[in-house]
Amino acid sequence: MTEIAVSVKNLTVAYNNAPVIQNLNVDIKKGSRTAIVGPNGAGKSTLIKTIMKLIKPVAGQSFIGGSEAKSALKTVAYVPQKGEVNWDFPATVFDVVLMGRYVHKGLFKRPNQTDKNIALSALDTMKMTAYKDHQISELSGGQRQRVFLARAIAHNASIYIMDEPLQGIDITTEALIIKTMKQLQSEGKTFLVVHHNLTTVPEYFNDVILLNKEIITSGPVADVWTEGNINAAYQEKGDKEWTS
Amino acid sequence: MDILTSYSFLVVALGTVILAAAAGIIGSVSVLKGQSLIGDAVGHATFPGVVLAFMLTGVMETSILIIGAVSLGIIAFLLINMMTERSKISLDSALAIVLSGFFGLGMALKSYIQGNPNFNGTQGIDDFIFGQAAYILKSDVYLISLISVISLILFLIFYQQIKIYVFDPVYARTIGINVKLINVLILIMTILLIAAGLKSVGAVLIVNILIAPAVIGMLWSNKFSSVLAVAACAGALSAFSGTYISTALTGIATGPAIILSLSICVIISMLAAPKGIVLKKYRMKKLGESL
Amino acid sequence: MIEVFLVLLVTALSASLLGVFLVLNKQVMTTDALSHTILLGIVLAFFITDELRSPLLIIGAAAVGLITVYLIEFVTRSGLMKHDAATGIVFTGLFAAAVILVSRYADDVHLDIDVVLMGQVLFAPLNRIDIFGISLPYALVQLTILLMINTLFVLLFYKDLKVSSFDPVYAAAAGISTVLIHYSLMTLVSITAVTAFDAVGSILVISFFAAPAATAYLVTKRLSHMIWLTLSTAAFNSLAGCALGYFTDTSIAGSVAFISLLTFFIVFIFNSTRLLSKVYKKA
Repeated sequence: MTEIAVSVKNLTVAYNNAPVIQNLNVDIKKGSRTAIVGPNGAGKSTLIKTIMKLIKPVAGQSFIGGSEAKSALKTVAYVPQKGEVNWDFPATVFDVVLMGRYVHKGLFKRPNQTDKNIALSALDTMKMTAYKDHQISELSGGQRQRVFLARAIAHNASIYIMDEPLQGIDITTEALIIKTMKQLQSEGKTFLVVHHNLTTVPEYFNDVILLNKEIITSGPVADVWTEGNINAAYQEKGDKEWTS
Repeated sequence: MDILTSYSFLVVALGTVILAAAAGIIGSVSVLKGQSLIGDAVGHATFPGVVLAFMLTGVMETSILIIGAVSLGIIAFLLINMMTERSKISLDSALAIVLSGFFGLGMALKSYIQGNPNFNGTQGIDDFIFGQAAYILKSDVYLISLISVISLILFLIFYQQIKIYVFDPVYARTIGINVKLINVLILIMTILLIAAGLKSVGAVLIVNILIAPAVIGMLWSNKFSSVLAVAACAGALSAFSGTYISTALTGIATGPAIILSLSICVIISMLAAPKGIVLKKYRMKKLGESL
Repeated sequence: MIEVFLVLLVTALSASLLGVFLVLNKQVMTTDALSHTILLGIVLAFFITDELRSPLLIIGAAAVGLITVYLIEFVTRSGLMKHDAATGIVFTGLFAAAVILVSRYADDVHLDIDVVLMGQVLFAPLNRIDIFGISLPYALVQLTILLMINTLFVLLFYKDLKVSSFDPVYAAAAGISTVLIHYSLMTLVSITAVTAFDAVGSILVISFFAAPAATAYLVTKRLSHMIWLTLSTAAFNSLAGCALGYFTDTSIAGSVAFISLLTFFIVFIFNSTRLLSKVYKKA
């Protein structure tokens, strides 16, 4: 039996009057590269935010490493969507990566030399050392994404949750991110990634969750990535019922 | 009852009612566009304009003071625009800086003329901070009515364009609406109404009569025209009762009285309106049961 | 006069230090709201104690300041209106209530509306307190303690403040309590506004929260640099404004607020023209 990194049971989430996710059950295997795929409004971002306990579900539970407690989140590193961050914030690339160490420092403690070395090596992995002292607003979209992945690496998490990390970035960065993902996977890390490009799913991921308010199907890409399943997820299913 | 039939009360009430109805309608645009607090900054910024106009002319004539108020209001707005467009400064910070800087200038100028024997009759300037309808003259009411009616006519002429501009500025541009013109128009109407309202509501609280009626309207309806109608009615009603309270009881400034009336309408609407808390709770409960 | 300047300086430093995070979080207009509404707390506490020097006034005012923040957030979260509309409505409503209470029931005491907006920093040194046999202005002592508390807060929670204003979703996901940080910050903002308000009036309080931090934000690349530049700008604004008010014999609070706007614009223009020259070089 494979170990489970993240588990969701009977999850229902609603904004105002409309359910965004309905009665969802899914397990994400430890050490997998799992993509969450589905049309706009399918509840992809809502699902990962609920897993990270940022949104309170109407019903159901989510577990990280078997635990429902908030403290389990320490093992999770989140790579945000571009729009969620204040890009004009006065911080350098190094500052941002060092933030990945904050989670391991209790109250009142500042990052020490060890933390700085970890941050530097994470920067090196993402080939961003040369930009160490640049302000983040000066970076291109791809560079920003590398910095965020570097922060997640510095965080030294066991589960990486990413929201559309490959959206609007250059090919070199995309290749580097995928290479790093595979490298980290071989070290036993788990990836849960909201992904928008259907053609690259089989190449980049080994597991996939097809989502449209409820699970259409989930499992190894080789088994479930079929035209029929994809169409099932992307047809405007049940929409009339909820938009009224 | 004698207040309600008193001629001077009716004149003043007419002025505040027209003003609040117009402010309710024009203010809806900024509220729908998420720029409610611009009125706050511009309102505060008119204060030094009033003092400057008085310093330059030496007369306490409402129409002259309004010109001063409008000029500084426009300058404040242009500065806010420049700050947010040409730097990473957020609208929020820009408003706070302009609001405090301009009002500070007004405070400094006011203290200067108050300590200066060359200027007589500076007492009236304080009425522009919180508004005192009791001192509103018949000529002031004419001016308020004139400004309000002009704003409303302009609004009606451009109604279709404004409506599209509010809901979808990009689409508005694609179908050839002059978005810049509409923007300038709304701005000028807003500043004129603020300036007209200074003597009855005051610079500090004027933003309320631009926001509160619109919020009430939005709680009762989704339709643009109904939102405007509700906003105008709520504004007019509160202006009337506020002016009445302020006239009937001593020691109550008109501006705060109108705003308290509006606040009560807001609270009632938040609870009881179709989109209010009570009905929403009920719908959520029903949804919970149906799951 | 030196004491007047010192009161201004300490007020400027305490408020602008917290202002850094308000500017970064786009919450400065909340201070506009609470610096007005605390008047309601002062008035209510005054009715209870019937005394203007009671510490209850400060507590009452700080409480109403916090209630303002909660109310605005409660109304926004309920989805009934947007955050800026909620700010405008909550603050004008509470302030209007306070103005009516003052003018109707407390007109004979020293609770002048003018003073509320403009402060009376010139009178601040008149209220004195003896500490170790040295006579000091009461406001100066009060504000110095507050400055120490605010500094301690920023030092202790530096990394939490930083990560939760840069990337709140990541911070929350990483188990940093962004809600706790937010309310601690707003509590201190409220207390600072109340204490400062007594000395310099609500308008200058807003200016101190907004202008120095926004000025520094224009030109700095690092949070630590931004904080230092904010504090220096605040000190400069107080000095220049104090001098302007003193020599032209005008309202000192008004002059400092106006100078703060000017400083911002000088830096703004200098900064954007330099950017222009950069663009020219590239072209």
